[in-house]
Amino acid sequence: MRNLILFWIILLLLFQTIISFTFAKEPLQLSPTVISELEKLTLEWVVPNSSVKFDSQKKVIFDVDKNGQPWIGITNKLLLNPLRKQLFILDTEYQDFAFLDTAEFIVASKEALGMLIVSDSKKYLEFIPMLKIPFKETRLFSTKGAGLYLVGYNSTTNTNDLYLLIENDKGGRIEKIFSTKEIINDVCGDGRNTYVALGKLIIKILPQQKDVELILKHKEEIKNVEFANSEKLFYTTASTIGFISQQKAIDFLKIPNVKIKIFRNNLYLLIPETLAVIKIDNIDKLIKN
Amino acid sequence: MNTISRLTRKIIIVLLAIKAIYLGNTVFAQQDCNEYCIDQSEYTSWMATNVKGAEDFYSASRYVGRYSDINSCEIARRSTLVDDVNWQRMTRCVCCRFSASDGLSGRKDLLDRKIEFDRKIADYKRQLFSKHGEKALEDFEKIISQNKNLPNNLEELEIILQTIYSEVVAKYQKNDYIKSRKQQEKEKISSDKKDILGQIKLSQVSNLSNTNTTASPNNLKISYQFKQKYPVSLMMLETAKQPAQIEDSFKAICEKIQRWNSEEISSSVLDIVSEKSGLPFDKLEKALSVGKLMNETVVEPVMRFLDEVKLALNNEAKWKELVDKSFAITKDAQWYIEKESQLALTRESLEKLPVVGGLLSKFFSAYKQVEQIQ
Repeated sequence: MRNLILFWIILLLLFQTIISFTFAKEPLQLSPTVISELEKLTLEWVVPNSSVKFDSQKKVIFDVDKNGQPWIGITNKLLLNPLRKQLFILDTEYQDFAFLDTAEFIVASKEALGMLIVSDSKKYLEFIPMLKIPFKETRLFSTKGAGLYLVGYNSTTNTNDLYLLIENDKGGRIEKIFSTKEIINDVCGDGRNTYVALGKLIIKILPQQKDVELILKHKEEIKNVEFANSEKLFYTTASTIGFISQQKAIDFLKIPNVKIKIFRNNLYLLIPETLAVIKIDNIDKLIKN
Repeated sequence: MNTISRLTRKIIIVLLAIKAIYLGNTVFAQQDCNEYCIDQSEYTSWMATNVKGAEDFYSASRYVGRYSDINSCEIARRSTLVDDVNWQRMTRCVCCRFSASDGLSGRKDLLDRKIEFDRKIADYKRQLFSKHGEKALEDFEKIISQNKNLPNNLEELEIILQTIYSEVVAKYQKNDYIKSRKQQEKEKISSDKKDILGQIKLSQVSNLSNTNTTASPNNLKISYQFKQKYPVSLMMLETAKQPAQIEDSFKAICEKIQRWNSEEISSSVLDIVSEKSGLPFDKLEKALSVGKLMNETVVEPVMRFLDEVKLALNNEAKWKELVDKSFAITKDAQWYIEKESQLALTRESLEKLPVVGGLLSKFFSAYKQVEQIQ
């Protein structure tokens, strides 16, 4: 019996070797869960789990500011800092928000991108529009560096368009870098390297070559993709968190429906059901191996 | 000898003189005074001032008792409140001199002091209210009402009131300082943001003029009025009209994405092995999750052993040694498989734990515990 098990194991591994060789030019292979990788991680509950369950059907937006403080957007009107126990009400319904690497806080309303100031009456935060946008639904994704990705649905062309807002010597610049009829789940990058989560795919945009490259095809839909550094990404699906590094994709945590954010070598996880936040330290250790 | 007798004589004279003076006084006192009383004014004043609840001592009469001579007065005074040092120290026997106001002066003193107390407190309140407003006044009153041991002595009261006043003033000065700093910061942020708005407006024109936009210069100057309050850049609107650098309407891109989407995840080893071997996917996943370790500890030794077997096919002398070695390798492999099976089972059970409620911390600690046991 034991010899039979051994035989099967050897047979499977032979298959693995053969298949790896056969598909060497194909997209990255999904590696099985590698538990030993977890030993390199340290976890910290930044915001503890609470017994109160939040309606996960409601839209929850998650980002981390320059001080490593988590910010949670709820019901498109409220802005919560659970660590400081601050809850702000906005005068305008927002679609999304993002903290840039430069500490700038950008908010997208249904009509414009803008910033927030304390209202004269001091009862709420007032939205100051700065850049008119032609989409009703807008999502923002900060880049590594001082840029911002913006995704909006263009009802005229029925496409989801991806823009990059960056600074240059002359001021601000907007580039329309990708347009697709597929639903864009998430975007990350540093402005030069841009990765897009499309359904079960993560693709890299190659503007110079006017081409795209497949980075990963997962068996589940990719919900989030975060940029650690060039060619090193973290992603989430409905049930797992994984990372891609050195031509390897590894699902390393089984945890459903989390939102992730990378800030200074730390990976922040938001559990939308309880609004709890977990920090995983020193993710570069995970990536290096 | 004469000297000594002369000195003794002088001493006797002095003593006699002293005695004469004392007797004289007594006689005169007795002559002037028909009655002696105990003067307790100093004692009652001290009591009213320093003993809480003894304010009524202000209204106590100055003299008590009537004695025909001073000696009986002294005896009575000393035998009263024998243990009270203050009584003994502050009272004395004097000639009784009653007056109409006697007994009322203490009450008057008490009233005067109360008025003085209230006046001082009112002064502080007035100052606080004028400098720091009603809340500061309330704080002051609150502290005063909480302080049940305010002294009756005016000087001490003054010190305590001054201390409370300083505390309240310090608090409100601090609050005022913080308030003004916040205001300054807000003003700075507001002015910075105005600058940003200005820059955006300026860069709007300069940037668009550098792009290949077909919009007319007149269009670029349009300032979209949002809420009738702030100008908004229209740069995004102009960019949105232009084609994207890459679009999935490009034939090649479109085909690629469609192909990737339509393909099964054939790159997943698990899928393929599961399909080829006919083994359940989840079991395979568990088995392969330890593939790396297996490779190092089981497969590689087996492969090396097979190489040795190949080389020894024609060398009978080596066969026995290889048989022994094969047992050793099988034993090692068995040990690793059992260990990894246990770990796989542990992982399987851990994965079933509810995720919300500290799954991750349990996951790590449980996994490490298993390792430590082994």
